[in-house]
Amino acid sequence: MNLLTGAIASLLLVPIFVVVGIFLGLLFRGIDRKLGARMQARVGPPVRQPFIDLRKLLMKENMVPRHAIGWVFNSAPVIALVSALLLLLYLPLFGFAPLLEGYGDLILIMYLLMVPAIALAIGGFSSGSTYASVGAQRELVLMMSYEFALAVVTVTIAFIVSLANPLLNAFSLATLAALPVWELAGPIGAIGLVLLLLALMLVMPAELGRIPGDIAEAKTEIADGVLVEYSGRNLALFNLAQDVRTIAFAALVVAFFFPYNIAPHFITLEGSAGMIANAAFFLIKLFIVVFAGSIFVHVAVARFRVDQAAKTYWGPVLGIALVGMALAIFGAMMVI
Amino acid sequence: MAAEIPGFSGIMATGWSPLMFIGALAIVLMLVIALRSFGKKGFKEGKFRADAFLSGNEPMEKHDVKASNFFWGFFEAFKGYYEKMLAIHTGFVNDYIFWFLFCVSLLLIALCMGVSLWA
Repeated sequence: MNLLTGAIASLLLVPIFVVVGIFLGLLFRGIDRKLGARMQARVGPPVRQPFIDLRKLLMKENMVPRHAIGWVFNSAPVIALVSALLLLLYLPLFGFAPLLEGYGDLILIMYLLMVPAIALAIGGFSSGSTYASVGAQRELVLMMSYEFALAVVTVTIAFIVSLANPLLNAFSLATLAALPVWELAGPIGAIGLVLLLLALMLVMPAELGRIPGDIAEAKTEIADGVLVEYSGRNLALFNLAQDVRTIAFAALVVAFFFPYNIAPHFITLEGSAGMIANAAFFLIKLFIVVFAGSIFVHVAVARFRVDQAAKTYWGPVLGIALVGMALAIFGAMMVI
Repeated sequence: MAAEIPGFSGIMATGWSPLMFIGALAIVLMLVIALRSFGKKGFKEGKFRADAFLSGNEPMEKHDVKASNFFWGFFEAFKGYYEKMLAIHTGFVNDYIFWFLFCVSLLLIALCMGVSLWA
């Protein structure tokens, strides 16, 4: 009975997570654009610009090309946003355990992370446009390129936790949050973990479709590629999905590598004050990850060519992840 | 020092609950459809309005892109690998059976080594 009540209570909180996820996604996009502009010596749009853009897109016409497969074209953005929002329900946010803790683990998260990219590609292929088709295949090529490195990082983290305590579900996000990997890997393993973190941060722009990994859209090459035919509310949903995915991916990085809370260990706050402090600390961690993995990178470097993207993710990035894996597992075994 | 996570239930959390997933999916789907319904529906019909963007060129009946062009980047990135793979795909059954036996032997050796190390 208690289990059922708990499950229903969790489901009742889902709308709050949806609203918070969308708000945070838009806010971080606004900060991203503002900071990116300032770093390029431009004034940039106000932080609230993504909110204005969302409202504007919802007021625009929703064009569906003549040769598009209508139902696929229209449902792809919905699938992308739904899967991005579902991700948030399985991730630890604001210093709390995931909302659906115990009902889904890292394997589910890995699959959910893939869905928005697949929906984007399917939407592109269904739009009956040459540019969108080229963009869609680029999205798939990119996904095939970075997924292996992402899988190596994920499995290594879970393996280290399972080595330390075989009784725990190593793929549970709450377990990872409760048992920080830095404390399980030893000094040699810590070097491996730094490499794994680096690999994950290098995967981040590709996963989020940001420069240098925005080859599927590539405005100046293929005129927005996969999104070229999207407008109005469909485009609004795709944009939202990207924003929410940014939050979800950054929250995953935080859960893997920075699960520490600030209260009551570092500051003596308890109860609701402690929770607020932890939530604020989580937002700071989230911002640092988004800044390092997305904002700074897209300002500092140019876009990959499609062959460079495949070569980079199958070569150096995967190499860093594999060396990191070897060192982290070796370090963890030494500790045991 | 392990982080203390409010609400963390601890040992052996289950892998995946399809019922909870479907429940959460239904709620999120409803909310996203509700958000989508705030947007403007459809568009005004007009000459060329619903044609796919083609840099201002006349719309074509067929505008297919060859698969070799689609996956150009991927093939280009792994040119060395594909050249080697194409060379060993000779079309002779004997060669394919050789590669099959070779790969199975490698897997068996790896498996035996893994089992002996584990034991």
